[in-house]
Amino acid sequence: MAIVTLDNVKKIYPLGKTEVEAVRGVSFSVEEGDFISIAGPSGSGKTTILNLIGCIDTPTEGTVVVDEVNTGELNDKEITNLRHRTIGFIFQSFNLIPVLNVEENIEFPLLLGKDRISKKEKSEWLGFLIDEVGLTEQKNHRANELSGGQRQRVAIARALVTKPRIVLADEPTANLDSKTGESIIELMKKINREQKTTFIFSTHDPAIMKIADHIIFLHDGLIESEERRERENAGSP
Amino acid sequence: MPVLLRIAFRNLKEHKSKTLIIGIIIALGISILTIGNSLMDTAARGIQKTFIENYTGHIMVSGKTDSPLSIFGMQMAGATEKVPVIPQYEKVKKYVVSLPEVEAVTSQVTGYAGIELGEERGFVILFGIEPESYRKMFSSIEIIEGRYLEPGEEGILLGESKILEIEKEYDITIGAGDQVILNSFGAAGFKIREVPVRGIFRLKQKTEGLDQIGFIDIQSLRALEGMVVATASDFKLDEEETKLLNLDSPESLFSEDDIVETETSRSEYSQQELMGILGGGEGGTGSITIDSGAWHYLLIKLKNGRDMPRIIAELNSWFDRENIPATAVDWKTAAGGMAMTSDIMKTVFNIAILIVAVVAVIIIMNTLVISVIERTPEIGTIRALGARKSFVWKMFALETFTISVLFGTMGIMLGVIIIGVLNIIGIQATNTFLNVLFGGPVLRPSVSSGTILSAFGIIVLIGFLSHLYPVWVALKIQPVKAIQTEY
Repeated sequence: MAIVTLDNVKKIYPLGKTEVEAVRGVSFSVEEGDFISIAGPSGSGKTTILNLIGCIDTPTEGTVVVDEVNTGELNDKEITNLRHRTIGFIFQSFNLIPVLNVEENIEFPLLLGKDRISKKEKSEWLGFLIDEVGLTEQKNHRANELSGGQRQRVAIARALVTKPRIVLADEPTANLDSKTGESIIELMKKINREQKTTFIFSTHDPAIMKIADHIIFLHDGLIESEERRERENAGSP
Repeated sequence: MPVLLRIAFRNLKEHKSKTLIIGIIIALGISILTIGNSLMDTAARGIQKTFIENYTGHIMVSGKTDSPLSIFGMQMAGATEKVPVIPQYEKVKKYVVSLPEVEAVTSQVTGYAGIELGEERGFVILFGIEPESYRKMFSSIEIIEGRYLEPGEEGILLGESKILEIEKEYDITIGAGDQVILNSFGAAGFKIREVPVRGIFRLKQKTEGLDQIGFIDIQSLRALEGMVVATASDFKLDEEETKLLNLDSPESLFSEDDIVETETSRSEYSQQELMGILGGGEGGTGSITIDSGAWHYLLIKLKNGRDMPRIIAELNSWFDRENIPATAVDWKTAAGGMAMTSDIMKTVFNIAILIVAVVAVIIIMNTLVISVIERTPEIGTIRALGARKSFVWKMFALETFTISVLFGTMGIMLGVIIIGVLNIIGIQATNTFLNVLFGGPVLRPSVSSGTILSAFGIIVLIGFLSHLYPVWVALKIQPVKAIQTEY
């Protein structure tokens, strides 16, 4: 079942008196539980597509359907709710809130929603996520006291805290060394397998691409090729 | 602690220099406001106490006038209108006394007279009073030489400072028991009166300028002021006189036919003979008599000053109902320009504070806008994570209000400490203006709850106004900025 569908999506940005076509008519769908990589060189439109799926940007043409909702028909409040309920974000620059510590950063998205969970339940869930990303000892540290890899682990836990159906990661390893980058992708893959969370991430690193079970190659705002592999967790309970 | 408050506190701590710049502006502004308002309020209370206890009572009743009126007479320079007497005085007084809220009443006439000082001529403001009721109502008059006026007797009480002024300027010594000659010239002609100085007084609450007044028995002042009742019924014109007044042309008055020439048999008359001709020294037919019921003001002291606005309204409504052209006003109006000084000063001060507040708001606003711009990725991230615009608004509003309340409270505390110190050491009035403004020779300021509340009001207002523009800028930041900007 498709959790994300893009149909002939175009995105044009004004650039002074001219216009830049970042995406020039892209159509594809993402199945629930996919671990999909959007690959391509810089300027190919990877980030724009992630922004459109993440409802933080709107297409100039075409439709983006997320979790069976056409995002073009939603107002600001509904889009915010959809983002909070359905999507988790992992940013290239980690984007942690500097004044909050590891635990507080991970907890933060929970405080934005209307759903209330018990203190015990929340504490257990946060403990699980912190443990899962291997930051139990650093849970009281601020962002500036962590390494790049540790910061990205916090960002992954934060993206998962609301139990979203989709996690979007924009070049999550770009600011990390290759070893740390691989460990971050392994962690994402592990969560994808265990939690059945759909991961959509952009990258231009071939080493990272090979872990994905669905790759979309972009070039100049168009899909150059699409490759599907058998899921590692396919058929598992 | 709620996450928003946690973020607010930590952000303020994180950006120490910005927090301090904004904080110092707020703290200084609020402390100046607290100190200034406390000084003004204390001075206003001093002036109020001085006037209510010494001169005006809480309420002044007078006849209606077109120009502003105070217990010192008409307020407009060059006003030709005379201070009217209270119409139906006895009826008005009876009604006032019947009010249960009234503690004491006294009546007064105000006049101005020249005072003969040897070859020179001075000037004195005179309050014509009923000694008994006046002393009962205004107990701050302390006799330092001689005695107080007795009911019905002729005499004047002069202030110690007036006596000193006379002694200094005219080199004349005046003491209790001496006679002084007073004269005035008004609509009723030139009047002269010799009265004995019964006593020299000092005000327990010294107020420069106001102790220049002389308290005089009412009949003497009425005579000086020409407050008289004409006995028009005594004039009866015969046919010849009526005919004369009915002449068509004024010129015919001077025709030779109408001039009666009579030769006298004597060229000199004694004073006694003249007095006999004029009516033996008593008021003859067609003469005028002093109006013993004429009063300019009825001054009222209430049991509780808080009743003042209600009683004023009640009196004015009664005057309307009874069709009496009189009016009741509060002590401040009765005191005239002197009491207005503190109000004017306070208004000027508040305008200055308003200008400072506007500048402070602009500085705070700009500093916060810089902060918002610096935190664009953070705001974008928060929005991307699912925060509504209202969350971002609350986040910045809370930061602004936290800083405003925190440093504003420090400003109030600083102001209270400074006022406390000033209260202990006292501020000396070094000139007459300050003496009037302070309501006495020394100002010992105190902070009222109203001042603190108004300071808090200003803090909230500054916080509210300062956060509007930065929040507007913050709300325009789209979540996509979280991805576009390096963090």
